[in-house]
Formats: sequence, structure tokens, C-alpha cells
Amino acid sequence: MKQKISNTILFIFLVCFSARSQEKISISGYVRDAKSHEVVLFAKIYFPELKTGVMSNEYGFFSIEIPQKSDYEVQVTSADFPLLTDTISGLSTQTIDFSLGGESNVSEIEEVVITSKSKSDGQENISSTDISLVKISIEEAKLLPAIGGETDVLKVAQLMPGINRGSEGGTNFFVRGGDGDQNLILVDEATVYNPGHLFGFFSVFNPDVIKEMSIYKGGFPANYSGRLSSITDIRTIDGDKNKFHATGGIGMLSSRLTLEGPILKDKMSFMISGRRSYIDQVLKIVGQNIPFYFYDLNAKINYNIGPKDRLFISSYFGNDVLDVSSNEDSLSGNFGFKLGNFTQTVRWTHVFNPKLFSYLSLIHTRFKYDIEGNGFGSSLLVRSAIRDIGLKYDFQYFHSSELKFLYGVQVTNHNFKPSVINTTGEISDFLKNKEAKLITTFETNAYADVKYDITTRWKIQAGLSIPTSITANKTYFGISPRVNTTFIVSENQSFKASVSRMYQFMHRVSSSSFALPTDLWYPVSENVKPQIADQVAVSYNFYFPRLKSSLVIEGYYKYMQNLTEYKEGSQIILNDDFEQYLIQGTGWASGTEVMFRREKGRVTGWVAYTLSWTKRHFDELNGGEAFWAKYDRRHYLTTVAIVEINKRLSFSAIFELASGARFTPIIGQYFQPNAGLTDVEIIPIYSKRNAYRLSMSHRLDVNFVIKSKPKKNPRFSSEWHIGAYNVYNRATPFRIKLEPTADGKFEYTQPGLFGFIPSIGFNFKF
Amino acid sequence: MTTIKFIVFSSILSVFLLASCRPKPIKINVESAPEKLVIYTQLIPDKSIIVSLTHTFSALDGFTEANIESLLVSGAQVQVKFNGETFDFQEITPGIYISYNEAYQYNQEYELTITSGSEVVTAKTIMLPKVDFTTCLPQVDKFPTDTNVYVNVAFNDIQNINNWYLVNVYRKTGSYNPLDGLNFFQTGNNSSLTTVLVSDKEFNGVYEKKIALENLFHNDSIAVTVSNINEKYFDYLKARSVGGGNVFTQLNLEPISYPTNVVNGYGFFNAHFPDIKLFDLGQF
Repeated sequence: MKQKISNTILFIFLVCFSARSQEKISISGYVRDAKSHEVVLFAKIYFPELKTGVMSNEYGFFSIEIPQKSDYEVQVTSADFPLLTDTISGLSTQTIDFSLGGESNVSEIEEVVITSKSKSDGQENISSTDISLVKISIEEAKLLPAIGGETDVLKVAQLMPGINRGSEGGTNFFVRGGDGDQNLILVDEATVYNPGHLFGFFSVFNPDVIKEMSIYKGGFPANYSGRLSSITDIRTIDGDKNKFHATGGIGMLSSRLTLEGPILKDKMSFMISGRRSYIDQVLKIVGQNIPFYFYDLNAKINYNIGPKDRLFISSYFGNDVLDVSSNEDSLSGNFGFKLGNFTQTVRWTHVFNPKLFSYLSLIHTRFKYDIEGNGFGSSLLVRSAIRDIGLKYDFQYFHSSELKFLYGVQVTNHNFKPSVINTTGEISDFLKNKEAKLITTFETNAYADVKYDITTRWKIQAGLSIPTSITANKTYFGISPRVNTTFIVSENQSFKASVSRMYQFMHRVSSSSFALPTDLWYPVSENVKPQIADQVAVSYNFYFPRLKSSLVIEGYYKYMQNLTEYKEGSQIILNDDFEQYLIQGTGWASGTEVMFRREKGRVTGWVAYTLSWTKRHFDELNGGEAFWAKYDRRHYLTTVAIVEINKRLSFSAIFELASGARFTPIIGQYFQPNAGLTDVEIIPIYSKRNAYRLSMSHRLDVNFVIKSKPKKNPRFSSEWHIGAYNVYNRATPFRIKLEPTADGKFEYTQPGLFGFIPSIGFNFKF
Repeated sequence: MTTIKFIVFSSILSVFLLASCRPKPIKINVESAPEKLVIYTQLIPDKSIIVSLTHTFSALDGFTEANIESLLVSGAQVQVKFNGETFDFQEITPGIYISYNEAYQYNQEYELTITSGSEVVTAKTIMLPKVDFTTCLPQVDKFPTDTNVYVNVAFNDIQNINNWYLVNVYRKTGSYNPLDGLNFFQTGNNSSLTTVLVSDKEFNGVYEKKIALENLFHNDSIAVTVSNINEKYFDYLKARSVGGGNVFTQLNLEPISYPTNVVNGYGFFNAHFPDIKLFDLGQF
């Protein structure tokens, strides 16, 4: 075994050395959108003659080493653009920017030929080392039906295999049998702790500002860490460096407006986007006073300092606000809450040389909630907050087209103020004043990752991450290896496999599957150990060229340690001393995911099916027996279709069929005297934990998009969205309820949250 | 203006449609747990053990306290075994069984066996030593507009073993003895003012507490009791104090499996006896 490893290492070095010994030049630069001059992420730069290529990184930068030669034909492709074919000089090392979607600005242009549509993600996936990766197409998401017509990328993510939704209509999701707090959501590298508005029914992500959204369910690259089950990486648009644009939408629940344009032409651009709901204003019209609303604001500045340096400053700010104090008729006093995220990222990218690219990020994120109320001589203020300040420095070294290194470090200072409670008056008798102490932890991560094409058919991506959490009394550190490998059987067929270990140093303290304002995050401590997950995944990938469709069949097994739960009967809401209630156990999940997807053509969409199992084991729960996780959905089938009927009209539909979530019903009762023996109480008898399952649900949503006539005003375009959620008005059970029957007894029923909801919206762009 | 009209129109339309299109709930069949025996016991040292015997019922049956008598189990064979001897209980009223015996002593283990038809339940317990108040004194602070009532209690922890204590304060509203276990299902003459549960891990040797009492008049009578209870019953009462708690705890949706020391049944075989103090607040 040792001999094999040493031979492999020797082989790698020989390949590296031999590559260096030839006459080679480096071609590096950025791939951009010709119209907006925004960088294009993950575009492929391919040299047909050499049968080699490279992909632009998450900042649009690429670098490749090729043999010296007079001319090369180069093809640049990206999913959203037509294929660009150029001829460039290969005589010397040079920096070239490719422009997609227009005429090339390559100085050595001899020929620009738009030959055909570019490869789809499914086609690119065959040869990539990425496994268990879901990419959400924002343009596609905007065409799909949604509750109230509000496009929601997190709900689109829930239509992908392996990503189960929680309750109907919620943004909470569960990846490969994991828990809801095991999903890291990054927006421009800043963590968003609460991704939901309106108790999680709408995500905080304004679709107009998202450029790229990737979700890793497994096979995590080493630069990602911090959660067990998924990493969602969202990149926002940079802002058009060439022209001023406005994009917006008017919906039934909210409206949004995005402005972008140059500050210094071709050098500096801005983007600012706002969204606000007006449910409160609408209800006021019909005589209801529910002063609840949410808003969010995204802003970004993008500055090309020079050919080698770029600076980004981006920020997100959003809040949910309930303010009953404006309710003059209320006799029950005033009550309100405010909760929201606030993130900022300052990023500097620097090209040290054609082969070495770096990005330095300073990240700040804060999530807090305030609950306030007063009336009848009592007042209440509950406050909780988490604030992170982090520094991240990443490097990408493009050694050759076959070999690429990624390495970097990250330090994050977490500050937790779990619960501050101030009460006066009678309420203080049962809710005492508490000033929770500030908890500070440091989380670090050092990683190195190598992508290596061992042969033209066999690729490997191997990495090691060393995450650490330093708490007041204890330091935890882990060794987190990640290996992905791809064996390309043919141009349209490959097998992939991955193993990974992930650590998580934070837990969400929540008593509900809904995103309650009282949910809060809590770090590891002397007693609460970090969560750990080991995952193995294998996949078979096939591309059907004639159908322009891809098929991915993937299997996984995940074993999780130190999962957190609460002792039975824990009172964790408004309790800052909840650590005593936390218990830790294990869990495991396995499943098979099938995804058939068509990304090109007049009819696009996908069919995704997941067959999965997930269990938990805690000594203190369910009599020490293992039990099914709440969102152990055995079958989860989603079908998404988008039909381009003509240039102006498209139709889309979503059909979802899902096994119900699990629950623990009351299956019997008995009488017992109370503690003082002055009365008797009815004591419930529960079934084994999560022994029952809600009924299987199915739902159909539809949407029509009608675009404006293209010639009316070339600068202005608009579209109407007319759709319906839950077309045949069937309940998607989210809980059980006891209902009285005619004979004086009771029966269990399963209500649904949302019935048939029509929607209409208007989007525009100029 | 057109845009505003559009928003108002579509929003009002959606509100009405939302209200009118609530989907019909789907029925689900949840099988009820098999019926099991439920016991509750009271013990008077040197005198008797009383067992009340009921059975569980379905959550769908719609039982209330009003028809609790239909749950009482008659004709059961109830036996207690200690010191190698077995004694039978007598059924004095439907569902209530009693065994008189002067040999019921502290620190002794008792095993209860109940047979009703094909059902057999068993439970074991130790009669825990009685704890007595070292201090139990009401305090009445009279003000022109209000009267604050407290009771100061203290007792010594029983050393060398782990103990769990239950302090109850009652408002006595009639001549009926609130602690007459024979009729604990038919109370109504007294009301529980407060309950304190404390483990000896929470104090060091001597427990002292000033308990604030509400809803009392200066001429009311109160009863204060302290009992040394077993750990499982303590856990049960703790769980009940959370599970039946305030609006915040109701948001905690996870179920609670209430502890029991009965094998193949529910309830408790308790063998504790309280120290009882009675006060007329008019004298303070």
C-alpha cells in the first residue's frame, strides 16, 4: 500500500517536472459578458487542437499553460452564452480577456465565429470532478411558478434531488438526511444565518441580484467548511460597467427594484437593489390591521483597480418587522419584533502572476432579533444576536491545464449573545430578567486542495481542511479530508465517487421546524461537542446528445456524530441556560437520487427523484432506541417543465409528490392527580418518537410568462407572470389536528397550509 | 397610478381567494394504544395503602373529568408484597382498593401486583423516610391597599441518600381535609396555591425558602406540606410543570414521554407521606 502511494506521488512530480521542461507559455485573463462587462463564472476555455482546457474560477479568472506555437484556435463556452471561437497567438505568455455574447475584444482576433450553442451544465458535468453539486439557474427559476408569484431560489433548490423541503411553503430545507441547521448559506462569502422572511415562507434572496447559485450536498471542496450537510454559495451581480440598467418587479406580496450601472466606465460599477413586502398595506385596505412587513437591500461596488487587482464591496441588509404599536384599536397592548441579517464583504482579488490568483476577503455578518411588548402594566424585551467578523485569504495556483492547487486560511470571530431578557410588571414573575453573557469563539480553517487530471479519463480532486474552534475552556480541531474522483468512460458517460468529513462548530437552537424569531445559534462549548459527518457518494453520469439531456444517478451514505437535540420537556424558548437541555447523539442517512434534466431546447426542465432513509439515536430519547428523523421522506419526486411556446409566451409547471414528514401523535391518555392532589389532569401517551408519517402529498403549480413585444421599445422590456399555486387545491399536510365528530368523539385530520393561490406579477427591465 | 390600482386590485383579489380556497384537511388513521391499567397510590405509614385503578383511553374518545368514573376498574386483584409476604387489597368503592397493615414502614421495599382480566401490572417502590419542616411559618404583610402573604419554610435534607422533595401550599376552603387520600378524585374543597419541586443537589443540607402566595385573603386558612418523593415521580412532576406550562412552552412542539414506575401500565406506585402544617392567616 505504501509502495503504491509513493509511486503515485513520484508520478505526480514527474508529470509536473516534465510539464515544466517543455517550451510552454501561459494564457491567463478574465471571461466577461460583452454587454455588461461583468465577469463570467465557470466558463470553459478550450483548445481543440490540444484537447485541453480550463474553467474560469468564481471570479471569472482563468489561467492555462500550453505549448508555444504560432496560432491556436480557442473556444470559450458558458451555459448562458453562445459558443465563442477565436484564434489567438501562442507565441508568448499573455493576458487575454474573452468577451461572450458579443464581439470579442481579443487584440489578436483573426476570426470570431459563433458556431453553436455552448455546452450545458449537464454536458460539462460529465468530465468535471464536481459531484453532488446542484447549480440553480436564476433565469430558469424566474420562469417557474411560486407562491404569490414571488420567485424564491431556495424553493427551487428544494426541487432538486436530495434536498427535501420542511413544511409546505417554507425555505427551511434538509439535505441528505441532515438537520436544518447543517446548511451553510453564503452570500458573497458572508454567512446568512436566517435565510427566511415571514417565518421562513420567503427567502431573503432577491432573485434579481443573484448571478450564480451552487449547492454542494457532498463532495465538498476543501475551501468550504462549517456545516455538515450542504454549502450554498450565492454570488451577486457586480453591476454593469458599461450601461445603466434598472430591473424590477411588482408582485402581489412585494415589489423590487434593482439599479446598476457604471460609476467609472469600464472601471467601476455599482448595483443597488431593494425589496419590500406590502402585506400590511394590502390587509389594511380590507380592514385588517396586521402591521407585518419585510424588506431587504443589496448593494455592491465593483472596481477594477488595475489589470491585476479588483475590489468588491457588497452588502446585504434585511429585516422582518412586526409592529402592533400602530394598532390603535388594540386593547391588548403593544407588541412587535424585528429580526434580520446584515452582511458586508470587502474582497480584493489580485493576480500575482499568470498562474497565481488570490482573493482576500474581510467579512462581517450579524443576525439579531428583538421582541418587544408592553401592556397591562408589564413590559418585555427579548434580544438575541450573533456577530461574526472574519478574514479569508485564498490562493489558486494554475500549474498546468492538468494540475491546479487551491489553498488558503480563514479566521472568524463569532460573538454570541444568546438571550437578553428585560421584563417589568407582572410578567417578570414568570419571566425573569436575564443578561446573557457574551460568548466569544474563534473558528479557523486552513486548507489545501489539488485538482489533477491523472489521465485524460481519470481526474481527482483531493483536499485537506483543518478546522478549529477555540472556546473559552476548550479547543476543538478536526482533520477533514475530501476526495472526489471522476472516471470518464466516454465523452458522454462518467462515474464519480467522493468521500468527505465535515465539522460543524455551531448549532441552531430551535424548537420548531418553522423559522421562529426565537431561533438562535449557539457554539460548541466544553460540554457541547462539534458535529461531525462522514459521507460517501458515488454517481453515474450520462449525457444524451440527441435529447440534449443529462442523467445523474447518485447514491450516498452519511454518518453523523454529536448531533444535537433537546431533552424531553426542555423549555428552551426565552431561556438562555439551554445548554443543560442539549443532548448529543448520532444519525445516519442513505439514499439514491436520480435526476434527468434537459437544459437546452424549447422544452426544458427536470425530473428528480429521491429515495432516502434517515435515522437518529440519542440515549435519552425514545427509550434509547433509534428513531426516524422528522423529515425522513421516503419518496420525493419533483417534475419541472418549462415550455417556450413562442418568443413571447412560455409556460412552466411544477409537480411535487412527497412522502409526509414524520410525527409523534398522542395515541392514548390517562388521568392522574396533580402535584397537590387537588385535581386530576389528563396525561397524554405518545407513540414512539416519529413513528407515524403524514399522508403523502402532491401538488401542481403552473405559470405563464408573457413578454412584451420586442420591437416596441428596444431599451425597455417587460413581462407578465400569471400563475397559480396548488392548482387542484389539495392539502399538503403539515401537522395533525383533533377535530370533533358528530358522535361526540374526535378524529385526526391533517390540514394543509396553502390552497389554490393565483398570482400575477409584472417584471420590467430597461 | 395604474400600477397602484393593479397592486390594490390583485392583492384584494388574492386575499379573498386565499380565504376561500383553504384545502380540505385529509383524514388520517392513527391507531390508539392498547388499553392499559393506570394506578395511583397513597400511603399512610403504620396504617394503609390506597390504590386507585383506572384504565387508559383513546385520545379520540372525548373523555373529560365528568365521565372519569367510567374509567375506574373494578374487580381487579390487587396485592402488595413485602418482607416475603403478600397481602390482598379490598375494593372499597369501584376502582379504589385499600390494604390496612400496621407493618407499613419507612425504608421498606414494596411490590405491587395488579391483575385485571388478562392484564397484569407490577410496580416497586420504597417507602421513603418522612421529612419534617424545621420551619414553616406564614408571614402576612398588610398594606393600606394590599396584603402580601408568604410562607417561610425550611427543612433538613435527609443525609447519605439522594432525595427529591415536593412542597405544596393549599388554600383550605372548607372543613374537608385536602389530604384525605380516600377521596382525592372528589376534591373541590381546597385549591393548590403553589408547588415547589427541589432536588437536594440544589441546596446544601438545609433548604430554606420564602414562598410568595397569591389570591389569598388575610383571614384564609392554608395548608403547607412537604414530602420526600422518589426520583421518577419528581421527574414526572417536573415534566408536567413544563408540558402543561405557559404560552411559550406550548410552542415547544416535541412530545414528552412522562415517566412511570409501573411495568406494563401507567401512573405511579408512590409511597411517600407528607409533613402537614395548617394555619389560619387571621392569626398572623
